[in-house]
Amino acid sequence: MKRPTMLRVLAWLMGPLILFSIFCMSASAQSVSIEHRTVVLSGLCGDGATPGLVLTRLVTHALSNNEKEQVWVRRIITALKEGQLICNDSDQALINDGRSQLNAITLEAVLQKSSNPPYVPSMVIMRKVAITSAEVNLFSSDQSVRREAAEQIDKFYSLLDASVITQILKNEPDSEVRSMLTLALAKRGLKSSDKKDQLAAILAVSQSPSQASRTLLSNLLGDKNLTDPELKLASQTAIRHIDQWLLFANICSILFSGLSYASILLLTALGLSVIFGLMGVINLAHGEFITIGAYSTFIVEQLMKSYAPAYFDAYIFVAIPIAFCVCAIFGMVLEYCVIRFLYRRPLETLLATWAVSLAMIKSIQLLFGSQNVEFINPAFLNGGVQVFAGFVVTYNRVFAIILALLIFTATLLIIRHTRFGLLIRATTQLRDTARSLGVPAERIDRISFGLGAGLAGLAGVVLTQIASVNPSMGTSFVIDAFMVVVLGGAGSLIGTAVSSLALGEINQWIEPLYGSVTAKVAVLIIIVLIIQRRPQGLFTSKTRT
Amino acid sequence: MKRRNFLSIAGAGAVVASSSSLSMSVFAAESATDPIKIGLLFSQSGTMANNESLLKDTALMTIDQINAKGGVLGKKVQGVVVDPASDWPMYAQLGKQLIQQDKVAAMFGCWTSVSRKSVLPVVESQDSLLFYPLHFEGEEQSKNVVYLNSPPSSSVLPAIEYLMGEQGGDAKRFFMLGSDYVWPRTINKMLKGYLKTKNIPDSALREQYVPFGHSNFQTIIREIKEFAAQPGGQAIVVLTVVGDSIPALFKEAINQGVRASEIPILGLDVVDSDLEGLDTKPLVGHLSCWCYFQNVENPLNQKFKADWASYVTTNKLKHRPDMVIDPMVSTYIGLNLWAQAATKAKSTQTAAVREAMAGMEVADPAGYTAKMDPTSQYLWRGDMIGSINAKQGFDILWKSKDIVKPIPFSPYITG
Repeated sequence: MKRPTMLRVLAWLMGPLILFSIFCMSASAQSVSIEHRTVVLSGLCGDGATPGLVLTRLVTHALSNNEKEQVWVRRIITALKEGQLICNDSDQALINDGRSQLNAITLEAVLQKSSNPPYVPSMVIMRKVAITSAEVNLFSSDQSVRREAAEQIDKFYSLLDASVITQILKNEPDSEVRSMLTLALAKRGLKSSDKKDQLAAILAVSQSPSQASRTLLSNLLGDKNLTDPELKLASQTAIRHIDQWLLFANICSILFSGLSYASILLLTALGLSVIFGLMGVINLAHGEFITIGAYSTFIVEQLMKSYAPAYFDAYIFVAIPIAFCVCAIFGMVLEYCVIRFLYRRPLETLLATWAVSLAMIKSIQLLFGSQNVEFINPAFLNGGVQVFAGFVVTYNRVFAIILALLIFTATLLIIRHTRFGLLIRATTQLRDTARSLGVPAERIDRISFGLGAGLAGLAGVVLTQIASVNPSMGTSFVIDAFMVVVLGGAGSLIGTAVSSLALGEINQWIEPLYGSVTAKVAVLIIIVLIIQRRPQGLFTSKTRT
Repeated sequence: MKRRNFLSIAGAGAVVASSSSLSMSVFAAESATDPIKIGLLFSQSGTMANNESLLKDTALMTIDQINAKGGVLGKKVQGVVVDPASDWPMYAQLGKQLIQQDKVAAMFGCWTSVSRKSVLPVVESQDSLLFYPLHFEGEEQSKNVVYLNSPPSSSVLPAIEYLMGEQGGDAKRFFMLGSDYVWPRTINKMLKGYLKTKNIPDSALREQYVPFGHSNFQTIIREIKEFAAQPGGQAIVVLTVVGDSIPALFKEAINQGVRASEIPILGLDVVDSDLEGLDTKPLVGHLSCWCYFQNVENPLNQKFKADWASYVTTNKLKHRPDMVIDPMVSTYIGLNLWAQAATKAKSTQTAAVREAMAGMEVADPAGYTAKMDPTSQYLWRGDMIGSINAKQGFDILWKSKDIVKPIPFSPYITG
């Protein structure tokens, strides 16, 4: 009984004491860390600055300290990467976060702002910042951040601090990150003096085929000091293995680029295929409908940014029906005001639509200015994914391909399987007969023209993610669109699809071999030759005209 | 009847639309009391419109400033604007029209070299003066052209030299990518000659050209990545692609994960306006070299930028008020130079102005005092390397200590 009471009294007495001492300790820890931070950052500013050393110290600081310090290190590196770091006149480092300036050591706002320009890292320091940032990010608790960091580490394997990586490897739970880090170490291991290490490294490197690993191995082979036949053989086999993969990756990449180029051609040509192919109107203002589609997307984007920022990324989907409707209405107005007077008079149509095209370009210029319009791509369309080494697929291209396929299928279904489609075909094939059977040919003309214009608008929506948007953007696409439609055969949607696929793929297969100028010339020559043989195009719809 | 009526109206409309700026200035000319006319030959439509309309408005702003100070020789200065619509032969045609019909004292104009080459025979035969505000391939010298920007020997080569140095990242291999016309081809020819003297083997060079307005850079970016991963040392891209192709290329580079820390791109024609509409965070560190970047700190630059901002807002122009690029500054310097020279010569005659200009000094918002070379008629300017920052602009990575002597004919181009 006695003891516990004594203990309790003791506890009562000790409690505040302990609390107090903890308080003291943390306060001193605070000042210790400030002291540390000052040492770490010394040499960042002023004459004879040694930013390279600062970066090395930052990594060691992150490695040996608690999470709080790691957050600080990350903040400094972000500041460096994003150009927020300023050296003031008394050689203190400040961080400009847009609203206020912070002391880089304490991260507290400073009263005396500096108007000096931001610190601009040289190329060497920038590389070092990239690797430092990756090394520090390896401490992150977020798995995806660590993976990204490990990829970076792998890229800059020659610059990394091997001891840091070995230390991190010990505690890394994620197997993918571990294997990437091991690979990076293996790449350094190629230069090791131990044969066993070297063989293991060669094997590891050949397991991740890429141009960079190939370079590494061929450098090893070219090294005069490499005399061991076993090592030579191993690296030769590894190179062969990598070469096969690279060839495969190359073929996939070209197929994909061809497909993506074809999807753009198809999108821009589809509307024209309806207007020129089915209705026989040479519409030189087609490109401007694409432009209008793109600008409609721009307006939707701006509105969403101010009124519905939470759903901002969805603007591209909101824009699809809006751009279609806007362009369709413009198309129908154009048909009503200009085109309907000019059916069967191709030369006048050509001149009139050209004038309309110029007028539209100038009006857009008056409304929006001639500069490129600023678009923020939805987050899910930024960047790309590496399917396997050497074959990168970018999201915006995938989006274009999918949308092109969907729009094409929808158009095909409408023309082939709906009553409206039947009427369009009837009007275009045998206009007078259709009319005498009670088809309202004028209205059908107007609606089909609207459909064609609307389709061009959809192309505009997709192009906002790929090309730059300005008033004259349409002109560059209209020629290609005519090319596709003429080659495919006027009046055949399937023909348009096939010819855009063919032109896209041919272009992308020639480009890597002979350059893009040659590719363009070759495609044009191919078209001329085909049109000579088949003036009606690849696919022809059977008509009785 | 109806149709014909409509067509003629539509036709007339189109004509008015395309030449409205011209006819307006003609009307203005009749009412003003005998002003001195300056021809402004900048495209406001077509692929160069983005960039050239900036120069047109800068020129008009500078003319306003000169007029506010009392004009030149007691007369008002008036800018006569035409639109060559990014169509090279049109530059020659409209240039001739400016000289013969509008009787302009001098012309400011052109962005691309093709357009300058197109106007060159016109100014030479009419003995007029063309002030050209762009940096270009050099290899030209005409007494009828005033070159306001640096030739490549004094602007591009210092940048390349920096990138080959230790601080610049020790570049050993070069992927030269350009639009297919005279400027990129000459620059690359010079570069190859220069790199040969630096013992860079041919195998470390790759040269590629794309057509004007090319926007599909998938294959090329892939090739660049492949090239960079091949043995032989650090690779850089020397980019001489122009116009709308620049943002298209950068977009693809971002998406395929090309970063400046691995493969720096030195864009020789990249200006702030090309970065509009791009998220530049993944582009940070790519480079450009010009005689001026807007982040240079000095009072004249502050004033120039403030003037531009207020000019844009008061005239409700569609430009960004907070963006100024080198060719605009060159245009500004050029007009001031012309005004100084005309005042000194007490005449706007070509020969008199030319003579007065030789050796003349003029304040440059880049922080130097530019000087007209009496023999070559090129301006001595400073040289800078800018590094793309996260705010769609350039930070200054390096700048020359003083103005650099222009070398119009590069010693590295043989044959």
